[in-house]
Amino acid sequence: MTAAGAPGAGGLRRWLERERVFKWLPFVPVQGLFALLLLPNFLLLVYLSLLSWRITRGAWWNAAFTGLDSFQRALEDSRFLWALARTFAFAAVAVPLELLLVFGLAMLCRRSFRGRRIYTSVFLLPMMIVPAVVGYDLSMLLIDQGPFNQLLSLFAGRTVTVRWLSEYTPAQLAVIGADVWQWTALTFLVFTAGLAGLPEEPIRAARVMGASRWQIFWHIELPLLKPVIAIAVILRSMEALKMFDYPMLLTQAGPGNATETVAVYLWRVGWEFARVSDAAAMSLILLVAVAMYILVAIRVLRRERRRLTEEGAV
Amino acid sequence: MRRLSGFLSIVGAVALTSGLTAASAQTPAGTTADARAVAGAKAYMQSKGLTSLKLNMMMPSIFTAGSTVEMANFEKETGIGVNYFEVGILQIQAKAMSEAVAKSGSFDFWIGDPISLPDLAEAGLAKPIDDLVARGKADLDDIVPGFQEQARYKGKTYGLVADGDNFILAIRKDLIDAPGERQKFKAKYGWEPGCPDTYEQWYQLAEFFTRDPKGAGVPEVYGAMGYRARSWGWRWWLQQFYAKGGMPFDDNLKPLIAGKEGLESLRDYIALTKFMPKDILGWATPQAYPFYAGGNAFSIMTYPSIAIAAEHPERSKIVGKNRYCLVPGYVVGGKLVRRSLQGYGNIFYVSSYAKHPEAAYWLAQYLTSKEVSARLVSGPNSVYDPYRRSHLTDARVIKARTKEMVETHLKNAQVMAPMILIQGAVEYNDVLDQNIQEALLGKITAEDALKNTAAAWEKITNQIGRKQQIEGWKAIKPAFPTKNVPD
Repeated sequence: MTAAGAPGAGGLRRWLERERVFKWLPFVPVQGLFALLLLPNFLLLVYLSLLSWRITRGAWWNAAFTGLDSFQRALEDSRFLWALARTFAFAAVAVPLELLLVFGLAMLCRRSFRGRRIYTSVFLLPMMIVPAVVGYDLSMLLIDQGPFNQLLSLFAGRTVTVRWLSEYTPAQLAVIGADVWQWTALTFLVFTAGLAGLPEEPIRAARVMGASRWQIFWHIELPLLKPVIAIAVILRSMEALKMFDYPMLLTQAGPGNATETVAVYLWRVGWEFARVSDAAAMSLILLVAVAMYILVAIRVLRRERRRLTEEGAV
Repeated sequence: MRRLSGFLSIVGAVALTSGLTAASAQTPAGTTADARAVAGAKAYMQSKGLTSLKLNMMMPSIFTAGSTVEMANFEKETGIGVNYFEVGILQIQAKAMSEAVAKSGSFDFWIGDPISLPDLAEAGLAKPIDDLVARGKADLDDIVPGFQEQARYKGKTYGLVADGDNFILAIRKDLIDAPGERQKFKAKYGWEPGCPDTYEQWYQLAEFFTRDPKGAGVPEVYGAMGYRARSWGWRWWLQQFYAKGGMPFDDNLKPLIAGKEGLESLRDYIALTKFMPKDILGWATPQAYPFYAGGNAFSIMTYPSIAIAAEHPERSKIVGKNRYCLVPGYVVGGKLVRRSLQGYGNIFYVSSYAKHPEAAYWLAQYLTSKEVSARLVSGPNSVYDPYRRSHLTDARVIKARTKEMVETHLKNAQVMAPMILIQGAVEYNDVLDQNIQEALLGKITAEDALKNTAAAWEKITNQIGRKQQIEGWKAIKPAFPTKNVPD
């Protein structure tokens, strides 16, 4: 110790070598950078939400401080609340649909067969396409007399004309479909990684005891996969809640407001209507909503891990 | 001696600098606006000691193909070229607004519509250019009244108009002239088929000429086309509302749209939609033009550039089969009132944060001059529409568009009304658009759509500030036409 009470070089080293301290050290640069890049923006966002700033009213630092007015306006704005609800509803349909599809695909690709690598690569391809391109291509494929309806007609044996881009529910399905088509690949990637990491012993033991393929899947693999599922759900939900490209490119968020997601509405309020303070308040409300959802998901994930640890499965 | 020569060189340098400054502040030499723009640009380059310069420009992607040749010509003459970045036509406002915040100077000028002007002027992005217009003597006198006014806001000029986008009605004369059709139509409706005077007559034409021989609900020929898609459809209703004698606000900015004029015109607007392709709610220009040019519809109310598509020798199946009509109207107080809407109308704006605002202005003056604008308007890929009197007599424009179309279009301009061009215009129009779409989809009644819009407009007005909005509304009111019908 020096006269001022600071630890000497040896003391510092000992302090850094403590497990409680050392385990956090690798995170310091990353978290520092993270804080440096995000914290000022976040604080500015919070501050802007407390002003009544429109871009058309001069500089933000001259805008009047109006406290929680923007939050009140946001919570009274039915269009915002509907956009929020619609976005959660889209995610609630898209994410489970992706999970179901991925179950099938991942189980298929788990088996060894000729061309498995090619199939796996093909399944991953959509994820690598820019969402704007997906949106544009689908807007061409989904027109009334376009290829998609022609394909449906071929299967149905009669002319099928679903108005994918100009009627309420079909437009919503089109947007969800675009998300599912593109992002099932990501879930697939997470699942194949999860399946590859499953412990062999319990599965082998079950097989020796005469369990069927289905029983092994249902009673052993699926419970072991729960943490992976939870991670996939969290990742995909976070992405789905930011959905912007597909509604904008497919329908301009229409018809009416059928496909106006919260990301589209926030963009409109901020950059088209110039109401930056309102947009800031809305995005903070969205942040709270998403954070609550993620917290619940993480809690579920932890509980599952604890249960599996207690059962000795991991 | 050395001192004297030093003194003389300083005097010489001062004289040269002030001479250049004076030269650049004078009207550039040239008898035409394009020649003055070239001379002005050259003087600017000289004053800055530059031999080549690339301006950054934001433009809607739909305009690129028709613009690049003339930009290259300007570069050959002046050394001032353009790096343009394309943006979807409906995203221009948001991109420009982000630049108003960032103040980065990432673009020197842009093409945008009049709706965004009030917000972008208030946000400080659009630069007033009155001094440059006066210096360059841009030939604004040749522009048909009503167009250039939309580039003005609260008494200042912010841009040069480049596009006459008031709506026109195109109908198929070959279908009307088919054997027996005239007689059958007249027997049914009691008037000779042709360009409709009223929306009711257009409805009757659309009803009669919808051809669905199989009765399957997918006609071979649709009776009518107009825009009904999100972000577009409201413009077509607004035109109809104006013709009905409606005005969006009173002098205190209280909304008037939910009255009789609004309701009747919205019901008519919705009723006509049944003769349009069923997915019309998802269509804009890229879908509508080829569909009409493919001979799939009897009539279309749209932008004047439809003539480029419909009269295109290779791409159109209906070359020479079209008639271009004055926009229909309504009989109000015993008199026919026609109203055409400036439904987009591109304008060249100069950014306040431009690195070379003067150079950007000279290019804008060049592109919007009599001569160069005629070349732009008549180009094979152009979506710039005629807006000058001189376009009426320009052989190139007439060849590309037909004489009938150009004459009718500029007659329509005599009864052209502006969109709602006050601060918050994008939001006012978006709310209107959203409610009209909901009514079109049958989610709400026409009455509720207009009431909801009026209520939302009140909120917007109160939030921006009523006093300020009243001022803005007063400034735009003189741009409304006073004639009922064109001469």
